[in-house]
Amino acid sequence: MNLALKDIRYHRFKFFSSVFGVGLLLMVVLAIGGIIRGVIYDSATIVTETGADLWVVEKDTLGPFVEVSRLPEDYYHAIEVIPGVAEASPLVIGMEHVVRPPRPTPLAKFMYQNAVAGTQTMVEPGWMDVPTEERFVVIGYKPGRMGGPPALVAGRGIEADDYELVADVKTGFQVGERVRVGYHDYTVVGLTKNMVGFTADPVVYTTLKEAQAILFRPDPDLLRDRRRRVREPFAKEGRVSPRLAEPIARTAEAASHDTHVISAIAVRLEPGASPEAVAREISKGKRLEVYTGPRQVNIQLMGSNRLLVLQLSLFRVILVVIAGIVIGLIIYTFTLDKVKDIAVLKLLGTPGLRIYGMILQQAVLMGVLGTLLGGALEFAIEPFFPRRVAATYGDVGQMLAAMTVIAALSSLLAVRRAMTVDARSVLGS
Amino acid sequence: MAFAVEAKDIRMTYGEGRARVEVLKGVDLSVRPGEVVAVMGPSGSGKTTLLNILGLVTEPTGGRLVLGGQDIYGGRFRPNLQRLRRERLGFIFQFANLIPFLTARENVLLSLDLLGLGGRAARQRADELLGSLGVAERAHLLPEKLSGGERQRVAIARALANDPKLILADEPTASLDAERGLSVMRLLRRLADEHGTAVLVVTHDTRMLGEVTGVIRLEDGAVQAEDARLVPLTKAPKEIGISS
Repeated sequence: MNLALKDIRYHRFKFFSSVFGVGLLLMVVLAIGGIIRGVIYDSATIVTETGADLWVVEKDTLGPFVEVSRLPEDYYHAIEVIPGVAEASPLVIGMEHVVRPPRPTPLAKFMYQNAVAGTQTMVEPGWMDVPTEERFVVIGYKPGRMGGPPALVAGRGIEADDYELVADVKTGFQVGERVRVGYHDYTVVGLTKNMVGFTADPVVYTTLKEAQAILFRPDPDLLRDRRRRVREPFAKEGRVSPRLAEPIARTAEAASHDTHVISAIAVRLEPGASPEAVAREISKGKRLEVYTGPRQVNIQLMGSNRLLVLQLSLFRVILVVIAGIVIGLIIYTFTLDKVKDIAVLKLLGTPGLRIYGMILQQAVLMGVLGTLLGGALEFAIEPFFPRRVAATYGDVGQMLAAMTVIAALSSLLAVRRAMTVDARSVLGS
Repeated sequence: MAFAVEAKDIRMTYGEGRARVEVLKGVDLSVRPGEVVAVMGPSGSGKTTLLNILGLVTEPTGGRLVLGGQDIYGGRFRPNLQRLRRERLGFIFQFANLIPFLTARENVLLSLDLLGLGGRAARQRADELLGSLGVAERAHLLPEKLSGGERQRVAIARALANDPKLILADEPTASLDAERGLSVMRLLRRLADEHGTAVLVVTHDTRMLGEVTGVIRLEDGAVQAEDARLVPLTKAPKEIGISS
């Protein structure tokens, strides 16, 4: 006869309402775990999806994602012939934005109001109602090489320089939509999913050349100013032969708005090639920095999201401890309610282990059911989060193991109370 | 006939020095199988302490206690009291004290379960006991759905489930009206006769004495008067020192 289950059957409302409460708490714990993993995924997505073993960037920079990195476009040819390199793909990476009418949902409005409470003076009044700038990461790549969009969820990929984009669904762009980016209109021809930068801004892909135009083409006023400065020395009589002045000036002008610049070169190694050896060879004699893929992820994670991850991790630990304490207190009050029954059980000769087992089973069952409920609720609410939340079944499994131990430990208080129950209290009362 | 329980010169003191309180001052008591003995006395006379000692939950500070021929505290090895309680003793309380989260049948089954008996045979035994006490139809109900009398009958069934040598009943009729109280006492008497179980009842209710075979009156920790002779059911016991 399982006394724990019989007791739960009798106190089912109390027990299951407690399980519900524990479940809600654990839902938050699991959601925070999912948010942490989401931040890590966001920090790694572009790097891992590109499939590069090495990232070649400008000397003394941390790579194209967290700093400005400029390289001559042609460098990738030189890298491609290094032994051990299977492919070198030039990439342009930078931030851009479009201005779109606001699309706040009631939930978003509520979350905004909640978030800015107490800090209204720091943010623009009516923030939700003014046209918003939607930021995204522009990645330019050579079609057919590394760095393009992974699996598409709609439309097609980019085949040539034709003012086309493939965008992550988070941009809100639709296939066929015309979007003004930089100085040109682009047609969205395809959609991909879960491709975001480490700041969770969605990614937009286009060809290398068009991305260079978007990101590096100078402003017309700047161009005019450069043209004037370039022409000025030639305009002064006597300095340059008039026969040479015009072609030199034209060449200089062209150089001043040249966009044959890239942010990084993604390098895929041949099987068995040593990343360290190839990296040494690549950077030999050139002002280049070479990072492995994991190092590049770590730079983003540790450089930009480190404190966020640590903060959330600490919060998660605190919540787990609180969940343990809550379960402990619930089981303790359960036990207090049963003091007389425990005394009767003791008087009837029930072995102590069986009584303590009943308390332990209830605590563990509460922890397990609370975790399963928390997991189910967490998966249900994930889509409502504005950023990626990536809790897994593995997280729920880990939480099950942790809560089993925590619940068992937290029940010790109740067990201790049960141990002090005196069978004599039943007689003569 | 051997005694179901025999207590010799049982003493119980609490505290030391000036705070020393002698609750039992050498109580002698013996109950044979089939006897129903009432222990009576005013509050503070030591009834509860005596019950705790006989129920093996309190060790006396002096004297000898023999249960079913086994010297409990005088032997070389201390027996497992918990085990003795579940195998040889049955308890009936003033308020039944059924486990509230178990049905009537499960309350009876619990006693059998503690002995390692389960399955169909145990269910059959529980149903038989409940049937013999007239509460078979209420077997599936939780204690809160039972009347006071029904609860007490279920408690008796529970006390009998392990086929005890001695039943200790603590004011079993106090929470019942006179008619139901008498019915419970008759039941105990019948069970003692049929099963040869010794029953020791602590009670204040002199109306129930018609169903007991002997009376022990405790006063100030000592037996003031005793009549533990077996008497036929139809006869009233000889009551000594009890004012009704």
